[in-house]
Amino acid sequence: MTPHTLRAEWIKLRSLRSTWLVLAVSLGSILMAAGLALMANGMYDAAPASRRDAAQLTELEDVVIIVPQLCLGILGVLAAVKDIPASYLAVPRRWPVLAGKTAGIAAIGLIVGQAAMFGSALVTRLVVGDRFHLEPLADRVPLLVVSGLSVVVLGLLGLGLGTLLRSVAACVALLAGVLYVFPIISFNVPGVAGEWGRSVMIGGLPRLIVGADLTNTVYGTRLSASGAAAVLAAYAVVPVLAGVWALRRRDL
Amino acid sequence: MRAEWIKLRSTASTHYAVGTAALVLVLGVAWTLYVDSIWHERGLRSAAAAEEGFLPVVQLAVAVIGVLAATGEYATGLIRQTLTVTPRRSRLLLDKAAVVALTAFAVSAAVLLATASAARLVGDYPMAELDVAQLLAHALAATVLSLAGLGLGVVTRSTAGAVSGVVALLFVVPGIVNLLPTPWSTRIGAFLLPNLVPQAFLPERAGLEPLAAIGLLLLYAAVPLAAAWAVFTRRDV
Amino acid sequence: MIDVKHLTKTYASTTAVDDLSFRVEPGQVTGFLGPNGAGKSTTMRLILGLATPTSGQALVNGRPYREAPEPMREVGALLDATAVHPGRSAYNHLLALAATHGIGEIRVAEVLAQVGLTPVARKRVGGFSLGMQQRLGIAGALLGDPAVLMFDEPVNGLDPDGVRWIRHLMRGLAAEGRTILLSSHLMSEMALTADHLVIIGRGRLVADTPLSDLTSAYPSLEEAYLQLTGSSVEYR
Repeated sequence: MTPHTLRAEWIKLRSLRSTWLVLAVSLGSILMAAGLALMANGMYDAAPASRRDAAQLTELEDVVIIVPQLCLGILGVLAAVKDIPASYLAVPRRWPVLAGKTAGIAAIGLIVGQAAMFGSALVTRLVVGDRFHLEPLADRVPLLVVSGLSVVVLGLLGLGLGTLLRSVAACVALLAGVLYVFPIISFNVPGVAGEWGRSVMIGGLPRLIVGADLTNTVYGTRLSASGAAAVLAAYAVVPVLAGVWALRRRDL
Repeated sequence: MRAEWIKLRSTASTHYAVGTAALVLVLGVAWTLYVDSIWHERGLRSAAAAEEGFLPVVQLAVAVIGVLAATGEYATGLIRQTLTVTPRRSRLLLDKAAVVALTAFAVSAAVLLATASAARLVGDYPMAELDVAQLLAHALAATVLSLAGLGLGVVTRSTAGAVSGVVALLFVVPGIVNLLPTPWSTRIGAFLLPNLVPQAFLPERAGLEPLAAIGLLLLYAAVPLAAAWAVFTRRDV
Repeated sequence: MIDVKHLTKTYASTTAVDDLSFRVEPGQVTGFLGPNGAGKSTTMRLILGLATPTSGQALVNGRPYREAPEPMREVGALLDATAVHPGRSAYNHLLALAATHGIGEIRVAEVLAQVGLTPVARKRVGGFSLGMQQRLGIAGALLGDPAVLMFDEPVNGLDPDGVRWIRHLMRGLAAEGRTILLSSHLMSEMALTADHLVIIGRGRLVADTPLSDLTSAYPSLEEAYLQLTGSSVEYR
């Protein structure tokens, strides 16, 4: 990758309306957290005082993270699938094109992921005030950072899949498969296989990485923190490398 | 209508989607054998049957068929030719919807029934009774999803947008609602697509009456299709 | 200069290009003719490294295209004018291509003016007519000011003005000493534009000859083409 291909990929990304739409929806997750927090407030205030103490609210940043994750995944898919042969005429070695896209998607994912995580966490606590017993923001900083990084992972997963399969429909369906179908299946499988499935789901990995308590959650605990970090990285690295491999061999 | 059927059946992506759905049969057998191998030592009282576990795969696959029936024509520019030979757009949309619905129902019903039968044939572990009516209702829900995909595809003309819409209906919104505080999650949850079939068959779970649940299910197809009709009959191609 | 040596490309069941050898010399327009499915586009894609030959090789300025350090400054190509992202503006499309070689905005504006697209430079390509897309594709080929240019059916979709414009552009580029490979099905246009012809049928070389040799041996170029390729017009 040279500064030139990097700049070219950046121009391609920024010159499409879909990129900006996807970014807007990603950051819409902050508004979504605010809306959900308002709903929860209404419920809390309507409840009799005796029951308020027991009222619980999931940290809303954990709820809305799916939005930037899916959005970056789709952005990665589109960046790969919608590219044109002319790009590879200009850069016939091909892999620098993918490297440029990787850098671009990773940069966007880094910013969007952190903004969405910290933004929604902050907004939730501002709206909720002293209702519910949310974990203090300061205690959650490592988890928010790592969860934000999972947004980068999804972007690169989409990019790699898009390069490999060249079909928007198949890749978006696969992203939904990784984020939802695989977990649903894992929840239903008993025994060791299910336990492993629940341990390598993207949703649970950030918690494993920062060593959060996973009792009372659906996630499995088969992995150590470093193992979880390796698995999370593999979700991004393996598809991108597979994409490089496919790009080298195939006719365009 | 025959033209729509030929188009759908001759597209490679349809074959992939049907193949993916059919893969469920293989995975379902593997699942059953695996659960069989462990249920004695673990003393499981019951475990999900294979068709239940892989239902989302079938749903997603037929939804993609619906989306691509619409966006595939826009992506290739075939839509212009289609409208030249079939200028009556309402009729065209209706034909498309009929073909997508029949295909989706046939594929999902066949895959679910085959997987469920195979699971009970090879599996000994305690699983729910084979309930053909419920499986057909799940196939109906999958069909609804593929029609919603078709409608969204016509409206957005974007594969990415329409598939995301279907994914939102099927997974994202239910996932978020599920994490809301309790009275809300069940109250809103009753209206969400994945929960409608269970409500129709397990009335004790509260929420909607069986008939209301099925009616609402059909609305999930009708609303996107109506939106598609409104847009499609007015918009320039 | 383009040097095609024993180039062969087989797909699963068909041979698209079959032991094809020819040279494209600088300073003239070489017409590349053949029936639909004869392998013209495949040959061009092989020369440009978009496809990998089954055997043989294609050299541009003495080396495979993929090994060129700055490919756009050596070769410009228009293959499929419709292969552009419809949501991007003409300007941004060219700017992204230019950026891969550190080519600046001034050059982008220059080629846009050269192909007559300056007024619509900021418009989305999705709204362009086929003729405008052809002009955009030609602009992309010219970006790096390359000595070798390849155009696959550039006249498709152009109005009579555009057809004449392409003819003058090709003649002008050749007169500057560049190597031009141009494919087209319009025989009358080819007779006015090309100096030399390479004709293929079923992936094989049928003729590699100066235009004047054909036009003197046959009543017209069209007649010559039809007789030479007559046996190979059959789809496999």
